[in-house]
Amino acid sequence: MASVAPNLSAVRETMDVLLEISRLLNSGLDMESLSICVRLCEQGINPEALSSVIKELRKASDSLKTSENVGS
Amino acid sequence: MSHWNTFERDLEKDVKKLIKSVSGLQDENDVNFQLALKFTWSNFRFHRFLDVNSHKVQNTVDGIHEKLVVHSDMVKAETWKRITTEFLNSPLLSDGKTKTELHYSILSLLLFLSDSPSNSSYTERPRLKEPDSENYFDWGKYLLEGEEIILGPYPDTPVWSEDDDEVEEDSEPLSREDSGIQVDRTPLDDHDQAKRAVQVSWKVGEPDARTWLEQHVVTQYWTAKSSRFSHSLHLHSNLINVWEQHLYNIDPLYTPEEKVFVSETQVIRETLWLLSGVKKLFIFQVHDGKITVRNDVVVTHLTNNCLRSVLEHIAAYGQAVLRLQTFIDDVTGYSIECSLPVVHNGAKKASEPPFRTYQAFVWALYKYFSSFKQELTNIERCIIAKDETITLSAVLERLTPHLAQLKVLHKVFCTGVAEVPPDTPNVVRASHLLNTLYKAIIEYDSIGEASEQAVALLFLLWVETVRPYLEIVDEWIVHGNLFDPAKEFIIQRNKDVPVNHRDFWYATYTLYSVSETVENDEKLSDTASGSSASDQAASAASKQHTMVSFLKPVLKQIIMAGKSMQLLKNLENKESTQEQLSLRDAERKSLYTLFLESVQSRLRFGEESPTDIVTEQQATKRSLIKMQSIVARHLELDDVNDPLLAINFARLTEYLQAMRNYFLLEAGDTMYDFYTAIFDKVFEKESWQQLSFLSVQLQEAVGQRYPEDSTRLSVFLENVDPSKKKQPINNLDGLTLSYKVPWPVDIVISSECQKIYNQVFLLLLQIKWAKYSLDTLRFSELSAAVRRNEGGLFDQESAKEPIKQQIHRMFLLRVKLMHFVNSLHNYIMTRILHSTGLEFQHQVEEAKDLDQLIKIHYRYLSTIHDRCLLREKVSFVKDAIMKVLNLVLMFSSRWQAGFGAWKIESIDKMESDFKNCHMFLVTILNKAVCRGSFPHLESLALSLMAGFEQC
Repeated sequence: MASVAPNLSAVRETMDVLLEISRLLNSGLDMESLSICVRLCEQGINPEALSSVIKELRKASDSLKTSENVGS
Repeated sequence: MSHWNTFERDLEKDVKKLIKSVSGLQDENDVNFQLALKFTWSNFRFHRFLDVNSHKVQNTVDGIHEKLVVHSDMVKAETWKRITTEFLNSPLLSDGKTKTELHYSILSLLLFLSDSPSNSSYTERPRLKEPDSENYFDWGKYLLEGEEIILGPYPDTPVWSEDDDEVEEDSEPLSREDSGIQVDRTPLDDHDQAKRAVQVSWKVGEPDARTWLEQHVVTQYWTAKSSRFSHSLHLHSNLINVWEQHLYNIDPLYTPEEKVFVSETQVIRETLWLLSGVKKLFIFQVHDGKITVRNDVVVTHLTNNCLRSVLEHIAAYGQAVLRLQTFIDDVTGYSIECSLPVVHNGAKKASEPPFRTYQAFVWALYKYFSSFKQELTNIERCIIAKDETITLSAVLERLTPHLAQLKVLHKVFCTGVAEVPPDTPNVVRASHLLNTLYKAIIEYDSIGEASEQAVALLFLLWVETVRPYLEIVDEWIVHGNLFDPAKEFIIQRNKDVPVNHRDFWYATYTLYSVSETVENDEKLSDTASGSSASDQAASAASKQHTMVSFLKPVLKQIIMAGKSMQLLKNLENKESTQEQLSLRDAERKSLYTLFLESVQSRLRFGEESPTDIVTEQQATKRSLIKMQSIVARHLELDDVNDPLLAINFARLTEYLQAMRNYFLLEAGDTMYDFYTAIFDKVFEKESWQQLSFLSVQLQEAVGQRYPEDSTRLSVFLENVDPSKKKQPINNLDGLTLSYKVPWPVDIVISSECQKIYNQVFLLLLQIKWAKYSLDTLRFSELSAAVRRNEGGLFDQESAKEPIKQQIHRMFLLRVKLMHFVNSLHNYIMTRILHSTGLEFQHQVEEAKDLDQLIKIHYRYLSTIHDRCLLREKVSFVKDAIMKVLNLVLMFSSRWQAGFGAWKIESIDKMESDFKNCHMFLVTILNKAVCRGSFPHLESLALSLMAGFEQC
């Protein structure tokens, strides 16, 4: 465990840095989404595809929300 | 979705989570959710995007950086650069690699999702590095759950000291060497002491290094200050206090004594040191060679008495070790500074020759002690390693076989060495030690299998100790050189007697035999003569002489071989065979190796059958005897090494024959010339007792036929007492021959033998004289006398008998006398001398060694002596014979004197004398023959009787 721990903490640090990058880039991802994305990329999902999906989902959810707002 | 593979199934969860977090749709059953899910999946699967290109990503990153710079947002630019580099250089996955494809794909994702970073405000959030939290796991506590352990001051713990009560948890974990053992937390323990952490600073060169060592290495339980160490208060561990409490309650006058507390480990270590021979100890103290136990030493878990009994038991063994060790040091000459009054083997000066038997014994002891100390060291290593718990009783049990052996050794040592009074000579010492060991082996062997180890050990000791002895024997037997500087061998060389001495065979070596009974210390040092050695041994057995008992069966052979060897050495000196000798030396195995081999083979052979006393004893004896035979074989291997052959080489038989020729008159013709000359002179009444005349005659006689003997043979005249009344027959007394026999033949033909030869010679001479005087009588003389007197005596009518009758009577008497003398002569010459001589020759050829030769020769001489009636008991017979011989001489002298010289009465007298003697002899001899006591006299009796009957 002791040998894993530094790695874990290092990975955590890396994630923090990554979060900073994403904030700087204004990607709109929070930590949770970011980690999901990291996991997905780890699994081999193409990031471009992923990013397009995310954009589409955002668009769709936004439109849903507006339609709901309008509807209610 | 059965067509999905596992990979996609795993992804499903993540995808759903993504949808949930991005779109905010939580309900999976929602249509939108399902639509989104389908959309996501189809995009993931069937997209047309290119793979990530790390260079492109890097370019984009740099491009953004440039853009930010262009936009003069330096802070942001610098931050951007920094964090991107940091990100790329930090590990993302558990394998810790940086700048992987994942890095770049994440970056590209973010880049795609970015939304005009230059326009958005951004402040970097400071990231706190987590403190490096040591994964500290309190092993001690973990292991000690539920246990109570007493902590004593351990020598190896560098951090421990009973002065400051330490608490483990607060000290730095890296400074601990031992793990786990900590102070037992019993509630009553005084933990009001401050929880201090000891600073371990390894600065040894400091002036208070010694105090540091004193405090931290080991508690100095041997110094005056007795400091208590904490220990568990469990009943079993605190027995001493409980017991004291109890005593205090019982006995109002009980006062607790000053005590020094030690731990069991310390006790064990002191025991081990004691058993390896260390003298300066705390618990065991040495006073005047005796080991005593300190009576104020206690351990916490035993009562005082209990501990003492155990320690005293150990002290006894320590005592044995001490004594044996001092003995070893003494013999090897190693002097130690502490002067203990030890058993001294006399004042040992450097100039004294080494006492090899003791040295060999010490060497064997030393070998045993080395193995013993090895075992002790192993135990001590176990204690230091602390892999397992070691208790005193465990140690003692492990050492039990060794301690038993130690006891055996000590017993043997006491009997064999220590109880010997200080002034005994080395011979006795060596023999006593060897005897003790031998007896001990037999004794322990009789116990049976229970003492196998003891027997093995003692046997090793004995074999080692007997080595110098065997080497001495070896040297003596093979080289004829008895090399014994410390005078420890039982046979000593008499320095005064050189090898060429006449008495060499008897007097050169002294056999030292000492009675082994306690009170009588009679020392008989006898000259071991070859023939009487057996008598000595016989009487020795009756007096319980046990000098070197194991050598007894072969002692005679050793002596024989040794003496012969020396003899041969001297013979060989004339011929130079030194080179051959040294060659032979190199090739042959020493006696000791042969002995060891034979013992080994015997014991191995006896392994199939259970060993019992007899085989053990006999094994050693047989091997010793075999050793002798090996030696004898060695001797026989070379041409000139058999003493018998050597003597033959020196022509012994020739000398014996020569002796018989001259002394026993076997060389008839030679001696005839000699003695007739003497007889003639006697007849002519001239003095023959002139040495010159005799020598000349002898030389002439001998020189004709045996020229080489003429130098050796000489004649002597002894002074006979003139006042003694002499018969004519005794005229010849005093005539003796002497034959010079060279060495080594004179061992067999000694001067005593020559005396006996001379006696027989004298008797023979007398008989010859009588015979000669009768033989040379001439009838014609008497007849002439008759004729002479015929004329003159005609007128003498008073003659009682006619002269012719007288002469006839003389003739008859002469014949009778001649018959007597002849039968006697024949009897002696043929029946006695000749047949005995043949027997003797036969025996000589069959003789095996020198001693036997001597015996045979002596027996031969005594036989002759007896049968020639020279013994005291039968002196009356001899007197009778002498009387007859005297008569013969008188008769012959009368005859020769002529007719008128004698009267009728003298003839009568002579006749009657002769008749009496004759009758007497015949009766005696008949009686003897009828009794059967002297079968060889039969022929004499018969012949005499024949002559008698005619009277």
